[in-house]
Amino acid sequence: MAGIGFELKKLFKGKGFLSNIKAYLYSILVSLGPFILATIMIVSIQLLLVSMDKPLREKELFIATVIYAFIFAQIVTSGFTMIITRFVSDMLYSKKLENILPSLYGIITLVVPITAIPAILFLWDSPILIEIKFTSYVLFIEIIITYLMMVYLSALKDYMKIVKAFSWGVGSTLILSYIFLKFTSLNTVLGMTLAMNTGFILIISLLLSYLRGFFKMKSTQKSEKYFYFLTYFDRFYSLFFISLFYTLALYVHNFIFWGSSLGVTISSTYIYAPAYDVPSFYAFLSIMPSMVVFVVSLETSFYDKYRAYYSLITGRGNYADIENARKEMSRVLWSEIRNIMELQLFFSLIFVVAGFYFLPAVGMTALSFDIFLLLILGTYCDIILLIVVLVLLYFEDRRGAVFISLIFLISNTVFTRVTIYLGERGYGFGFFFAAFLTLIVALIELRVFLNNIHYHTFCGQPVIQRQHVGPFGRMIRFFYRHHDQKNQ
Amino acid sequence: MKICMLFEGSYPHITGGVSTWAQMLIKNISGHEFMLYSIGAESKLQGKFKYDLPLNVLSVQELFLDKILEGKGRYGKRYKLSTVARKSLKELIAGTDIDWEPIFHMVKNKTITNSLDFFMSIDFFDILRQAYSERFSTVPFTDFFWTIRSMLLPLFYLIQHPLPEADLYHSASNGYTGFMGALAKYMYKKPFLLTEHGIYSREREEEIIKSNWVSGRFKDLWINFFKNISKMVYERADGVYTLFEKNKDIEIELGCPGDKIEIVPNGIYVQEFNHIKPPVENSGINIGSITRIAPIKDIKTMLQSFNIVKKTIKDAKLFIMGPTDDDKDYFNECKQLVKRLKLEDVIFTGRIDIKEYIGKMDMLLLTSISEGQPFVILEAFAASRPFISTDVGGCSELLYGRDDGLGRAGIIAPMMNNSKIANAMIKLCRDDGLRREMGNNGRKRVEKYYTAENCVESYKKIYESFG
Repeated sequence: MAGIGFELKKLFKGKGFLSNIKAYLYSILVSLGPFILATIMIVSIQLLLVSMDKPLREKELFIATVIYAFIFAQIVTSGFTMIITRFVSDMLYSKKLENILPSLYGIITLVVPITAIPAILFLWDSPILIEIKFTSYVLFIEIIITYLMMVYLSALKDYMKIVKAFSWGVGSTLILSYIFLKFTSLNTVLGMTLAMNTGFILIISLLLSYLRGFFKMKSTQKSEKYFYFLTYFDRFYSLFFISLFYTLALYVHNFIFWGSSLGVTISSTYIYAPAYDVPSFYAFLSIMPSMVVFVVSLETSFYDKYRAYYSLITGRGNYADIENARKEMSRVLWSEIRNIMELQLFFSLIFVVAGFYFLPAVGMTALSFDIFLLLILGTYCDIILLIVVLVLLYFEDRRGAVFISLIFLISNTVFTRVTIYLGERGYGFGFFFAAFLTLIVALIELRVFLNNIHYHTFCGQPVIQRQHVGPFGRMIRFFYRHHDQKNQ
Repeated sequence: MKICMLFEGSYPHITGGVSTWAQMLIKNISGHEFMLYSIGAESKLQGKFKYDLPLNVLSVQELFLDKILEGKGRYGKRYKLSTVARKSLKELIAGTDIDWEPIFHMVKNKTITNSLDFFMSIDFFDILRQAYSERFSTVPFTDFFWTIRSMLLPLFYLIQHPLPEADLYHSASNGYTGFMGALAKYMYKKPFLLTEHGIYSREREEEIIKSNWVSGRFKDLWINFFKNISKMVYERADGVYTLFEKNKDIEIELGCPGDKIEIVPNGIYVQEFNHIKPPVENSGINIGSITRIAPIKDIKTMLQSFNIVKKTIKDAKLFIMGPTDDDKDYFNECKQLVKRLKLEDVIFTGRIDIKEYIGKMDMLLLTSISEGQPFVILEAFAASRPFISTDVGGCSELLYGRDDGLGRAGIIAPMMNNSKIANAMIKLCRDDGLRREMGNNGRKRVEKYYTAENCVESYKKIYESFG
């Protein structure tokens, strides 16, 4: 009888603890890629259009089309990318590489139809040319696929290949745009979107062939479990919401301004608020350096301490050793966060100064410049906040992370609405206050969590270890029952 | 009177000494009603009773420890525990002297509704950490954590399934059921009796020492845990009953007040064996062992000993009578041993009707390394057959008597001692006069002290005295 108690005993398995730490990091880093890409493309094409004296209306329609495609692709994929990031990193860790590539086909098959519906509804009643509607829709889908693929690419860590693929894509887009504008009578917007369609097809093809080559070489078995990743929704559904809430929070203030008096409608289809959106774009650029520094610094100093802590737990350390490792880890983490805060402060100041000289020169109004200054502050809080959320995710504090991203979303919505109600002098304060408040909450959460991390590490483990099978797991089991029988 | 009887790993799901005893008791004390609270290991036994429940059984509450595995805990819950409750829980974990009162109080107030939630709470973690830093600060913390969790889990699981209200609580063993009985006494203020056939904490201790699922320091932790529970149960029980003198001494050693302990031996219906005739002469010597094939019965020693016997007594046969499916690996090992020794005339009969076979035997044999007060000895006595047994549990008391002047009813040999066990067999094989004499002594002893009627009567009186 006494033995029964011990049948329950399952010690920590090392698995899972160290494997997926870096995955979130790389995925963030790599997801900056499309952002930079978009910026380069838009700026280049804009310059091209300006040099060719194309009408403002067409220029505006093109930019709105591209920006909408990028923003909404990022939002709709955000939840999914987080889940598959986790999936891919677990599969890499447990050496089940054969499951990775099928999941890419699976997630594309899942996300594309889901997003098609709102996209088609959105374009349905628009007075835009049907051909442009089609190319715009294709662009949106292509960007979605690219975002999804970035997750897989980040796992490979061969950044040069990625940069190469993107360069080919951007290059061919620019050349095609030039050809279409110069040598054909094609509608400008149609030509530009067509050029982008082609560029993205090229990027997707290159990346896909690269991914296929990589996984063909690495995995010996063949798997057809296209939707196996869905089981991760049972266990990690909170990741979906963390990412979705955070991404929505990033844009919700813009959306609210689109509905305000600053809103401008293009071709009765796209609404945006250039007076607010343009400064928020420039402000957002200011966080790039921090992202890179964060990835690098966490890679080195913090990761070692993190590993030391969990190795003591999995490797028979006594409590005093574990506690010392916690203190050390905590110390290093806070000092890294302080470093990044200082560094980001420096970059933000540079952006302010640069903006002071540069932005009025490109025609920014005084109102937009004031908004820019506030958004720089907001973005400053936002990037630190993002770092804290990521750190919480390394510690598997998904509960805290989902709470924080929800607070960010809600506070940004509420505060921005209030600023619109208060009038122009308040514009920009909404996002800043929301990010600031959420940052404070996040820092407190991190502090409390680190103080109780032993408790979370130990008691967060279910008393009885077992494979939890939720609705998605049952569904997958049902669908793959024949598959498994075949393999057995 | 409504009597709630508690069982762990026995009645009515598993056959054996305790179950036979329980069936006899309940059936014959028809003046009272019984409610059963039965803890088993595996829920596949649910509803599968090995006995026809007597009509005076009102209810059977079945609890299976593997059900714990189906539970689900939520993490992050907080508990309002009094300082004394924290202290007591810490003592329970650390295995020091425990003040049980606050724990019982806590259970009564239903402070903890889901034990899994509690095990995932920061309150539990803090208590565990304190116990660790006071007494175990050098052992791996992770191992400690999981050991404590799995150690306390069954106990907290049972706490969530309280006993029904009754006029009297009677636990058929110490340990988990003993704990539940003591808890019921606290909650309902009704008397609580404990009958120990085998000494619970000793049996657990032996298991734990032998086991490989727990190592070093943690063995002490587990052993202490069971010792502490046992001690508390002894202290809180209104009466403690055991089968024979030796057990009483151990119980006293384990902290039971001696004046509480009364000896109530097992009993059988002697007249059921009246029809059994004396063994047939000149047909070779049949040695019988009524036992399941299991390591604790040490069948290998039995075979080794018989191998020695076989060298001098050519016409001896060994009948091993009892289920072989209990531990199939062990059974196969035994069969291989027979083959290796080239041992002839060993017959594994499987499950048989004792009364049919016992008449064919000239003597009966047990080589167990642990026993309580085996029914098979009483049955052999009732059939006037001499007995050879290892010196475990109450066997020597049965065979040699407690100075009752009835004489020896068999031969006691040290356990695991092939040659001494073999010598005893050879001695009896060669001397049919001695066999007859010992057989008769046994019959007299069982008639005088070990009848079912005596046993039932004793418990009737005990129940009445608490009623």
